[in-house]
Amino acid sequence: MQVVRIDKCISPSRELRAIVTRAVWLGLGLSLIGNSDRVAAASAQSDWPYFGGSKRFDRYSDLGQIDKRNVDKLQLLWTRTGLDPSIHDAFPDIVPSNYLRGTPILVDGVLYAPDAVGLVEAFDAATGATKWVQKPFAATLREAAGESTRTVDYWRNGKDQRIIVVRGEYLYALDPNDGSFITGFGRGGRVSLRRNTPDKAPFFGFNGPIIVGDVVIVGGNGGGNAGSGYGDGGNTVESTPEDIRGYDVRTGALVWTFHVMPQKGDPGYDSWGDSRDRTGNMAAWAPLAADEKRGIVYVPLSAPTDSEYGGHRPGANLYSCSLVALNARTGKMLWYFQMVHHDVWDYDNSAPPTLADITVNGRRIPAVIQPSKTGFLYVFNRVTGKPVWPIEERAVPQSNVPGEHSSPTQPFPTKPPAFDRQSITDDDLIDYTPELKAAAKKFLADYDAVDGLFAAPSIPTEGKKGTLTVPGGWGAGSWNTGAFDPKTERYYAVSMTVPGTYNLKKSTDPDAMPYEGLYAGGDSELPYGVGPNGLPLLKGPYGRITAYDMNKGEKLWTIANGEGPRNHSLLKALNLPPLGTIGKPAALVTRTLLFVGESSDAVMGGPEAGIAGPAKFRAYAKDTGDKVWEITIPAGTTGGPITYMAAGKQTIVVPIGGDHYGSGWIALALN
Amino acid sequence: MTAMLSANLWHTSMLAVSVVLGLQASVAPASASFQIAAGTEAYAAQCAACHGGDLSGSNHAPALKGAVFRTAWAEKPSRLLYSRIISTMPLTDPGTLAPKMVLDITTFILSVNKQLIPESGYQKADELNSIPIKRVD
Repeated sequence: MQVVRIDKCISPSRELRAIVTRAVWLGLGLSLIGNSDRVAAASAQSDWPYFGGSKRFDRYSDLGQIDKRNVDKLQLLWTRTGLDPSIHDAFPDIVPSNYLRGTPILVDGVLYAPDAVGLVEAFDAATGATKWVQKPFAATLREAAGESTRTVDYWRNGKDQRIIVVRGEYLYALDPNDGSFITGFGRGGRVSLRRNTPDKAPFFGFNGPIIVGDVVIVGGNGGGNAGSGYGDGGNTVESTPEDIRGYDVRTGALVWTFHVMPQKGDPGYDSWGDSRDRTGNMAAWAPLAADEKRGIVYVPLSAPTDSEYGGHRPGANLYSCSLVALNARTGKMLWYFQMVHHDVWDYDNSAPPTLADITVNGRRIPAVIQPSKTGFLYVFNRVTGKPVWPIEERAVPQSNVPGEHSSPTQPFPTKPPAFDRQSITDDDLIDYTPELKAAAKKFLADYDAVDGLFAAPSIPTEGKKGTLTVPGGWGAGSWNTGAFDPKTERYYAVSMTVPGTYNLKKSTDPDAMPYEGLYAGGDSELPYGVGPNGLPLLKGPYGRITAYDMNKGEKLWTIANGEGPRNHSLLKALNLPPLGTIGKPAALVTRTLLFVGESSDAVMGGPEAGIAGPAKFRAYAKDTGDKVWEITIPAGTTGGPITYMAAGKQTIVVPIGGDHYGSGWIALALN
Repeated sequence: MTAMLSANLWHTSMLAVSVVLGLQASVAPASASFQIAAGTEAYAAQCAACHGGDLSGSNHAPALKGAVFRTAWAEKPSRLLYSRIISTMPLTDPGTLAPKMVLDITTFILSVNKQLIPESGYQKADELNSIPIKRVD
């Protein structure tokens, strides 16, 4: 049932509409970066020059050696461990996380990727054999320890070339020939990215750098210590905005800073009340994308502190939860659009923007597609920021939490339709048997507000557990979500359905925010979010792929990706079709096929959600969504699949990991 | 080899949780109960924000008890747990925790998961090398 408290909904002010609801073309002018054509040309020689396939983040390859007719002959070509043994030999206490984020890039027949501790490894694209492994900056466990990041980037100017990577709180430049530090970059080959925060929080960023022209652009976190004020579930008052920064690729010098909280004179400066000097976060933790030819970088921003309570920050809170387009050379903002005003759901722009050239009503449009945790695709002309289809401000439920300042409206794209479930009505509940439906209804009755996408967080009362809605804090879309086929102009959204609770409690710390979010006691124990019987509260599919015709803004089909809970003891006898497995698998589109694996327990979930042990990697017909092939791989995918030609073979490589397996890369090719 | 932790000491470790939640625990190194108390305190400061005050996990980190812990760690050497923590935690700044603190945290997590702890606690990480984590429901 959808409950909207209409009496508390008011019309948005003209000022709010003017500031927030339209993408703003600031008229700063676009200047082509001097050598961008050279970079584009260099990239074109490679089959996979960046994490997202290209910096357009379409995850597309035109290779067609593997097709529908022969895909069943794909076999394991080679495997490689997620951490070269030399590192473990030198530091026996290095036992890395199994979340191997590193999606390789390919340059001149060599793959480069962050390994399981974030050091760069270079390996042969045809055999997987080691070329070199980055050495820790010093021979200490402190320098050797680390986390995998999603990508590296590559830059070349004549004979001068380098691999750029973010590791821990440093930006590094390495020689692609041997992995040695480029000593002219920063201090001895690295530059500190630490932010000046009240709590001296370390910088961390897993999304990797993106180079446009001669500028390395870095997002990432580090506005406050994680969990205690940097946004998600914290209640610390003081934190710092996580600004976007550009560095000189040659020297490592800071070239520009884009302030994610507007400065005086910027649009939205007054959208914070008096909280400007103490509110932080808003990081770009999802991947960035770039239009290299135009010299524009697209930055998806996230929620401010605190992500579930905003009583101290009245206003729309720009540029939180916005997509901002920046001149990559100067850092000047060209336009922005805010997807969620005054966020209290942690509805980050959690996915990479994807650049897509589409034709709408006969007009060719250079577009950018931004997926979000909300389950919407927000589509813009990527030069002007004008929405391709109208995005309407609609009234939404208002909070009754003392001191909170809900936005009266939120943006709703009129097209395309959402790629995942956004409501919990009676019709959305699990109904595979009458008993399951009855249990779901009884379960739902314990919650006092089920208002759909923008159900306001609430304070639990006696007999009621507070707000429950979908998407929850995990979001429908994430870093894995998008892929675009430039030949057919279709977009593929990979998403999951995980409801979440939004409950607040009064803080007992007088120095903290008055309210803090109560993350529902361990989602690890609740594999599909909250729900009865260890089953999802809602109907499937729980992990899905949605195909769109981006010229019309219409859905073409939706399929379940994975078996999901169909073999649960309460479902097994029903012989249900695949229900889709949750998680964050990324897509790869080729000339005829769409490859999507299953996710890993190193990323989220566990055995209760069907995410443990070996996993499936599948090929779907990209036009119909029909499954044409699947193979069992040793563990679930933890990064994006890529493809390229090596030694005459179209090869697919994907990082995998799991508690039972460790981590590594696997390569597949035709027998 | 010293005697292994009894059910009484398991009870003591749970008391230690309560102590840390309410009061400052005083820590002495040479007994399991004090080590668990120190580990509880260190866990609260370094780990609980993401893994949950009751080790039940969150959107950002897995549970460190129950089925999730068993699936990940049962039958593996306890030393691996120590090594994983010291080389990957905290997520935002791995490798910065002192070995003694990591040993205390490891002992605390093992105790919550009903693993037997020597009465004298663990003095060195090497002592964990040959102790497998048992599958205890």
